[in-house]
Amino acid sequence: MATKLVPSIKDASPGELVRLVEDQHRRLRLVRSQLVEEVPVDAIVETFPARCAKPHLGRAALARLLEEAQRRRELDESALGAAIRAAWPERRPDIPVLRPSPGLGAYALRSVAGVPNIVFALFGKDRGEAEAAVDRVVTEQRTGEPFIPIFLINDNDFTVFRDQKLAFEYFPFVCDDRAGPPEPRWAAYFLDTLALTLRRWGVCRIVSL
Amino acid sequence: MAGRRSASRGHDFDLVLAGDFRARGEVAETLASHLAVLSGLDLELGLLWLRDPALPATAPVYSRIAALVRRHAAVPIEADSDAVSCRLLLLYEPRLVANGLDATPRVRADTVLVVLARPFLRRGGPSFDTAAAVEHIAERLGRQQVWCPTTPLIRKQYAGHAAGLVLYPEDLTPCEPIAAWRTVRPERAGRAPVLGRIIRYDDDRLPAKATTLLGAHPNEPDLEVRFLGGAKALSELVEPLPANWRLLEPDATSARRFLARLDFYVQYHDDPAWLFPRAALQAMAAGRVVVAPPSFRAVLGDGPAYRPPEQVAETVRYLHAEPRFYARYLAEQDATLAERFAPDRFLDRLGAFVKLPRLQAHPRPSPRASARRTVAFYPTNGVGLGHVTRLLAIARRLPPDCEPVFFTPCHALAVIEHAGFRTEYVPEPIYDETAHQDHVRATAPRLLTALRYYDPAGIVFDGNVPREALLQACAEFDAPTIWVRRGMWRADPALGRHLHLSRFFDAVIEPAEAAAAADTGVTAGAEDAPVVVPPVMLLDRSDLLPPAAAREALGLDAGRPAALVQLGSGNNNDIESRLDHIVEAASRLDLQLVVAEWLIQHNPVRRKGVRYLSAFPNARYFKAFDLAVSAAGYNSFHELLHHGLPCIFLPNDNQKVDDQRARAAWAESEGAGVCVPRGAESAIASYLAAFLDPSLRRSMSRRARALCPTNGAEAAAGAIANVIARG
Repeated sequence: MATKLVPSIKDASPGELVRLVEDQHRRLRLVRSQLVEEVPVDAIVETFPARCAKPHLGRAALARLLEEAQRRRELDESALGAAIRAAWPERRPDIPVLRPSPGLGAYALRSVAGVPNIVFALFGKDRGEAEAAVDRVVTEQRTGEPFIPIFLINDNDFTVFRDQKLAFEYFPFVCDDRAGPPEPRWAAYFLDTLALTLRRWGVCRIVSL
Repeated sequence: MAGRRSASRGHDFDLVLAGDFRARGEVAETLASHLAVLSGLDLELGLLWLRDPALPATAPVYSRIAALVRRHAAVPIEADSDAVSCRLLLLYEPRLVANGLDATPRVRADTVLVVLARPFLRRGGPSFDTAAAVEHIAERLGRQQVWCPTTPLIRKQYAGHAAGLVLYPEDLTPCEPIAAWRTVRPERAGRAPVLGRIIRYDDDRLPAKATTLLGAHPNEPDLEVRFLGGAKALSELVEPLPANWRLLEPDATSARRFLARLDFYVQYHDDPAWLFPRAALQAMAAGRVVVAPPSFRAVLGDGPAYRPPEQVAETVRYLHAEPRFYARYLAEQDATLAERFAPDRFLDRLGAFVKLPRLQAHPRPSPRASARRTVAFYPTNGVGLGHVTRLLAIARRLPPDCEPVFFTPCHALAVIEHAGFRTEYVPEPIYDETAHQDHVRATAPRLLTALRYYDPAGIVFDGNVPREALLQACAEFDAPTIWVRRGMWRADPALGRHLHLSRFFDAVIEPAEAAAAADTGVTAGAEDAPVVVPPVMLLDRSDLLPPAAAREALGLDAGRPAALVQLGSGNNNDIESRLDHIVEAASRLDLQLVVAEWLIQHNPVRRKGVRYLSAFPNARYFKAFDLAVSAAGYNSFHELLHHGLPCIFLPNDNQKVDDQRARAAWAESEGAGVCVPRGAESAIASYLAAFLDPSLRRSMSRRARALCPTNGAEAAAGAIANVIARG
């Protein structure tokens, strides 16, 4: 989607930036509405419900794990964290902070330096809820301070993220409030994975939607 | 396993191993080998830090020791513990205690066994004050102490230069447990022998002359020579480097995995006694014939092939060609291992100081000892689902004791989970637009974390170019790696650079190409001896829906001809104009069309009045159709041939690696299909009209089925199971 931006993004003021992002959104909405009109009715669409065993996790337990991951991240960055690691210093890879696509809705931000990443958790949301949440985030991205969203999901339908070229990470587990406490080894893996996620995107907090 | 707590911050252990666990080299290898042996016993083991101020503060624990601790072999003792006791303390680096032990927890050991694993002399003089070390050990660790060299040379140096120090009369000979190292050598058929050498930072001894080095590691096209580490020293000694030498970075893979991929371990230098040739011992334990100069016999004993350097090439060729003689050398090496370097001998030595249970009397359960073994599958997905489909075909045919888990960047991973396999998503920079090298550095640790969690017994990659992040993660995870690599690459010599990556794999499995006769790409002449299996397909002939059921499922009129159109995802080529030509012709010919929609299609191409099928796998519905119009990717092509659906091929010429046109042209030359020439797509109507002739279709179907009679997925699964079983 090549769009010539005038004035140049490099010398755009914050106000101009907002206007440019809004313009991008207008164009995107236009394209999407055109596509929607062409959808045929004569389609046989198979669905692919997961048939593999996945860990089940209650919402309360999930909230606790997310909170713990964030606390660990803060500890990790502190002098105390360094001292704890020194007791048994396993190789700690130097992980750069990644800068992903800002999404087609605000693609002009791709060339703007210093735009922060924000990580949003959409765990437990079905496709409709996830789309609504993404819409809210993209609206906020368009109207507020610029940021680059990264979504954490546990639903294996990536369509909304792929269509809008938004960064996401998939965690294969099932939200299930009837589930007992998570299996300790999996919980430890989940926490380790979240810790890497936070480092990779250079954030300390996860915004749960 | 935790030590028995006897007081606050205190522990009671059977054995404590003391050293700087961040160090590398012979002392670290000695410590790690002892820990590996001891972890097979029912003992409480502790690890006591002796920090070496010379090491950088950020240096990590040596990977071999870290891996053992991760598997609960021993417990690191906290620095603020105040009452540690043990029956026996093994002290590996006495120079570290010569200046005191103030920062180390006080230990009450019944006996301290000081293991002397490296030469005492440095620049002609003692490397530390042994009297001070004796005093500090007695004061902080235990009164009864025994100093025990590991080799005759070390004994001689201490005896001659450490006045008053009493040495234990017998050496604590190096050992390596076979169980920790042994892998089965890959079959030799059609494969050049691979010679290798590990060059550690503290053991980078090379021959003084380049001619000796080149004699031992010959520059011969029928031999492959690999070095793990030592690139700088090798480059300085030999210039230019021979074309058959492959120099790997020291951390490119673990020593065990490096040895597993060799046929011969070759080590040549002038002074074998100065430092014990540990890597040669590890190669013997791994089950590879060691080739070394005759002077090594005094150190390694019988078993290895002792030859002057100029006879190395002849020796390895001969032994490679004669498995019986190779096995004879191995048997003799094993006898030497049992006689001189066996863990039992080490335990017997310890038995003089502490009562030990019998080795393997109570083996610790290993995560891999469970009945089901995980096998990791990593399919990339380019613009289609080819790699995913192929690995699904193989995964579902693995032996029942294998449990597949997938790692993939595929956006349609729902089909994998639907097939019943747990799946982790691995983003790729092409999708999330992160910088490539940053992405690799960020993704490798994520993959490694996942590998450590799932603990696969083997890792299977399917893709044209092995992913750097995966290779980095595999370098730190000890499991056989397998590259499933289909052929039919474009005839572009530049693609050959990817083939060199096969040295990071234990095996390459090549799903055969029906059109192999037309394959002019680099894989056709690959020298990495892939294991070739028949073409791999997800569905067998018996898996397809019967014609009536398939037509009913798709809502097709039973009395009119029907065609399946599968032009690919359209993510990298224009399928719109092709589809328009087909739709227009079909309407004139009263041909029912079903257009397959790829699950990862970015911009679906849709036309009014056409039926779309978004399904997986499409082949299940093949019997609903009289013909197909299809791209010629590996999976579609072989499925169409195998199931005998007559096809008009419209190859995607925009593939970076896959040569679809050569494949489709070959099918036409064999009378098993038609390949529409480049630029003739607008004439599709005439092709479709011709295919309405039932006798033509019958003939093509028959030929197609004969050209691709067998599904190789089962054979591929068997080959993978074999590689995993080799260890």
